Amino acid sequence: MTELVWISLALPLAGFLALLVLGTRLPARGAGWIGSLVMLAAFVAAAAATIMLAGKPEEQRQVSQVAWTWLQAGNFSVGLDIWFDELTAVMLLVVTGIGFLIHVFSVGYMQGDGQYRRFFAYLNLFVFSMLMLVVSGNLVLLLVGWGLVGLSSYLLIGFWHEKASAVKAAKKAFVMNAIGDVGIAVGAFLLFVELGTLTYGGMFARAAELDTATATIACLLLLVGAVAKSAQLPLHTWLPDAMEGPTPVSALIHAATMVTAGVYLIARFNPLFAEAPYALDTVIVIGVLGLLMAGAIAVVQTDIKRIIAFSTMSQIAYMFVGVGLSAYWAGIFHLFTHAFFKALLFMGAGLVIHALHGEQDIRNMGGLKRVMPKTWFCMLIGALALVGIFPFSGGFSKDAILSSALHVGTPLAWVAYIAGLVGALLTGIYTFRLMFLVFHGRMSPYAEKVAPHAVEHHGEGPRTMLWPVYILTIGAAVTGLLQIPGVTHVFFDWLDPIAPGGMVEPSAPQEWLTTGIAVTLGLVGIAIAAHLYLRGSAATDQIRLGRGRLIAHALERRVYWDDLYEVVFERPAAWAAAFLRRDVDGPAARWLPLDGAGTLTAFLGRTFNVVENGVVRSYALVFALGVGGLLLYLLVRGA
Amino acid sequence: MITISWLIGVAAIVGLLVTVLPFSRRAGGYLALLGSLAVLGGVIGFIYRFEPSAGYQFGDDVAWIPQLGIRWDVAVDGVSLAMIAVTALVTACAIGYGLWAGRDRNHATYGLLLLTEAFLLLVFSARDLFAFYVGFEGMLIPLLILLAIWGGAERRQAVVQVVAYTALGTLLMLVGILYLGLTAPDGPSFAMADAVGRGPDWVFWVFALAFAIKSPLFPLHGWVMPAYRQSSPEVAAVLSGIASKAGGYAFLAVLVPLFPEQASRFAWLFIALGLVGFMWGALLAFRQPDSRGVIAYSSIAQMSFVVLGVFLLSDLGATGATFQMVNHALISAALFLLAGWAETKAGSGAFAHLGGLARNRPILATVVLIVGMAALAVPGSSLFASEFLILLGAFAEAWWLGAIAAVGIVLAAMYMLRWISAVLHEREGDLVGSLRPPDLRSGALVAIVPLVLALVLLSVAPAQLTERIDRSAQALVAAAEEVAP
Amino acid sequence: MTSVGLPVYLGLSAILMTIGLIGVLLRRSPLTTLLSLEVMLNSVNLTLVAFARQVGGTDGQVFALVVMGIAAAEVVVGLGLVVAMTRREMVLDTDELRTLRG
Repeated sequence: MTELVWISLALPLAGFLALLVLGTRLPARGAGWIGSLVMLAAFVAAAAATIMLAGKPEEQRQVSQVAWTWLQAGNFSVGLDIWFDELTAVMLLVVTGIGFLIHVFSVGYMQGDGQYRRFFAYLNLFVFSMLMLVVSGNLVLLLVGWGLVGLSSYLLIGFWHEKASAVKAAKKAFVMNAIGDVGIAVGAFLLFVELGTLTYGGMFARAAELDTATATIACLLLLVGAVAKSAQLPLHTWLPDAMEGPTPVSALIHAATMVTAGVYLIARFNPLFAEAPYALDTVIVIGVLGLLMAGAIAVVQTDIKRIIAFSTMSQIAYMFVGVGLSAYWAGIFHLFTHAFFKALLFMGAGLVIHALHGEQDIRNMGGLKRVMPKTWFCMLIGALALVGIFPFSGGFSKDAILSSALHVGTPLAWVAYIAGLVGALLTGIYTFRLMFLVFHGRMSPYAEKVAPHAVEHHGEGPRTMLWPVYILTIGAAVTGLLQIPGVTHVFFDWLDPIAPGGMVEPSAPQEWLTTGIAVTLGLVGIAIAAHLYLRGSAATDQIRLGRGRLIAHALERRVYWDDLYEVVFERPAAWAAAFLRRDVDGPAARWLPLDGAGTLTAFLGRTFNVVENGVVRSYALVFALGVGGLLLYLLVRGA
Repeated sequence: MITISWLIGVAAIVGLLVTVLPFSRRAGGYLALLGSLAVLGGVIGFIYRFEPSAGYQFGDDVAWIPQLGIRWDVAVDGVSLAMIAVTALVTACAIGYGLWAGRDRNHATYGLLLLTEAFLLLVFSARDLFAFYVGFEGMLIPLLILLAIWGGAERRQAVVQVVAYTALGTLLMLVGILYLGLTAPDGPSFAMADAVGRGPDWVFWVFALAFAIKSPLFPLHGWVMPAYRQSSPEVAAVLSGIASKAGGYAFLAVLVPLFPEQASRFAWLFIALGLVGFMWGALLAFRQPDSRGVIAYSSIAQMSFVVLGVFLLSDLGATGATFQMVNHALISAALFLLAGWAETKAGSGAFAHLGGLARNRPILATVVLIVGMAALAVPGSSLFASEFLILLGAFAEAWWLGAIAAVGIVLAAMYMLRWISAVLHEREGDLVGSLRPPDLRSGALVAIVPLVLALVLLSVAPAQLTERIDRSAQALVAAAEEVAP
Repeated sequence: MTSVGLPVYLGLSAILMTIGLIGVLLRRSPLTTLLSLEVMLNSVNLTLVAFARQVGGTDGQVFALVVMGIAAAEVVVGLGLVVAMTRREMVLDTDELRTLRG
């Protein structure tokens, strides 16, 4: 069984290396299919491993294996090891499964791009890194996967490196993620110093030995990493910019897999978080603030991908609330369904962008339902799942989170509950604003010019792009049925063993009550969106909320976070660096040996130059006086 | 049995012959390359035969100048082994690069590189203070000749600056060494073993000064910029890759074991300088207008980290510092060769003229990316592993120290990303079109790839190196660690 | 033959040395300077020989011979310089010859 996990991990790496070495010797399409096939094989291996894991009795479902010692010094030693349990299995399936579909989608989407092979090499590298992250059996290796994910994300966001904005966005994402890496690294130091081990098994077994303060600090440090990777407050500003990358990248990294790593991290370290209630509360607070802010910002964005990006941030904030409430299963459940419908939405957006020759501004769309009915239908399912309309998947998972809040019932949980419901309303508004402005109403002049023509010639997209979308549509529609309140318990039962401290599970009435309220609010949101955007044209002025210009401006500027960071960090750092270079380091380096030593020597030279008059006789006189003085000294001393 | 003396001898003799005899460029170059490969082969043999638990190995100890108690006492422990291995590899690559990438080199340049290697091997293996001094000072001679004769346009100023700094340090150190040697209790003896714990504070300080200049440690890094800017790429690779390691190595293998009490008493100062130097180098690297500037200041930052690791005076810190030196040697050598390649081909290294090199240059782009990512210590890279050890050691010492130093990871990410983008991405520079051949070709590639491969191997299994270093590093800092309150 | 005591030799030597020194310090002609130098050297020679006889060894005599040889060489170089200067019609005045000052 572990062999299968290793195989699943090694395949994308092998694909990456093959594409790297073969390079231009491969035909372009061949590269795409190699990349996709290794993903399929990895998925099959992962699925087989999961089935074998499910066949075992519950108490034997946590398997670990060490390949070799990776790093060792003194009493510190860390191995290249894997840890395979129910949570790993879920992540493994999501990453390889969704990853495979997105690879296939990319075969069509990236067709004609000159850098086709490089793209698939990077995609495979990313999947390898992500798998490394989820199967690693200790914190250091998790950090390795964590960092490699950041690296491949950097490469993919900046894939079109001729575009300055793409490069800038890639750098921003990397640096913000590096902050997260540092958080996890310092957390690892603390845990090692306190516990003497960094393997999951060792740490979790001894978690209870930590006092609350230490556990809280350690968990908060891990949370820094989680927040950076999952684009949560306050390290979220890289995510919207990351939309500069190709759309499949957004679907894979910024919807289905990488950004959910933070949720995985918290769920994985639940035995530690169980010792740190304040850290869990912090997770909830971050989630509550994030879901409201991101949802509100999404309402005013005009770039189709950025809308979905903010929606992603908002949905991950829901997951944070879920894991923060100790309802780990609900958080992971939402992660699971979200992977389907959000990848679906991104890929649908990709189809639209593809048909419009790269146009991403929704003001230049409109009325596309007529020319792209298949895309419209699939995205509609995705949108309904996102808003959480019964019986599509997102509703079950989101309501599981919210009803857990209801079940917990503390004041903070109540705040989370209400905020989550408001978030559901916002979700309805921004999601269907997007749907209405893109697919309904009048066509914008640009779309009129381009879209019918493109669709006429190529259809809505090549088959490699459409089929993955269909499959995801099915997934988005039905995955929620795994956990129907009071009926099925698949997800909860499967994940129950990962939390030794137990998980929160709401009762069926609580869930149905929440579902009722949330669906109603979602429908109200859709109605508001319909009222605002369905009638008339997609004119710019209507995209604004109309009233409250200040709020609108704040939301359009994404609540000024970018501006804040620029003023607080970027400019002072740039200024300090420039100052040091120009006025301190350069001059000092020259001054010390050259000007400094030179000035000293010249001064001494001028001083003693007086005796160097060139008159031989004066030299002789000095010499004679010197000899005379010496003789005199000898005489006197002798006496 | 082959001992380290053999390797020093091969490097010195072949180097001298190639320098002095009137070879043609090709003949001299290939002879020197052969010599460096022979040394590399010997070192690989050492790596296989090395016994981590056996202390100093592959050594010789014969009287050299008996009247003064000076002995030719050389031997290799785990820390030396790591440094010697990387020295051999970088020298071979530098000679290969000079041979295949440069058409205008003089045959003597290859010989001088090999001579530098001989002196460096002596530094890394000497167990006698006088022999150590010969290596430490001697390596400057070939390097300065290389810089003074075949350097860039402002080479004169660079030579003056290097001499002004290093002469100051090493001459004072000579006084210290003579003091230690001549005041030995049983007649003059320069053996390091006889000098342990015997030196007064001023000797400690003159040693520290010499090593700090060589490392270079903030604020004594003024000679670095002109030297790295004015040297030809392969000389810059040797200078920053391995010559500067003589300083870091000497801190760990000479200063700390010889002056355990002072090292422990003044450790805070070096840790502080390491921290400041790291931030300083990182900030300045962020604003440099050309590749060499970025690499030079990143070297300062990385070597500051090494000093920080050494003066943690703990097992983790010392092992991490040695490992960090190995990594940085490989990385900065590779970076200088890469940057130098583009620079010499295009005629300028300024980012304003070079840029957008990734377009239609898949090989160059791949190599630059791998080395760049290794240099910013992306988790999983060997540099990450070594920094992790140092930081963990720092954290174990004092949590705030580890936390502050960890911020450096972010700074490193910032300047290296800027470098990668400036070289590879965005707008194509106006001189890029003049690159001939357009992409890295076999010659320069063969010289750079071994460095990259070594980095990849160390990333996959860093324990292979650290388990060889660990015990020796621990022994070196053990005395100072015990003194610590 | 009446034997003269050591003090007489030393006295003469001192007188010679003083004359030579005064000559070097006061006269500006290079020729005279050389001459005065010879006088000083010979005063030293006298001292050496006198002491050697007093002590009974031969070391002093050997030294004196060496000094004579070196003095001869020095005069050759010095006179050569003077001749060369004359040929170039330079002023033979040591105070004017100061091109080599730092």
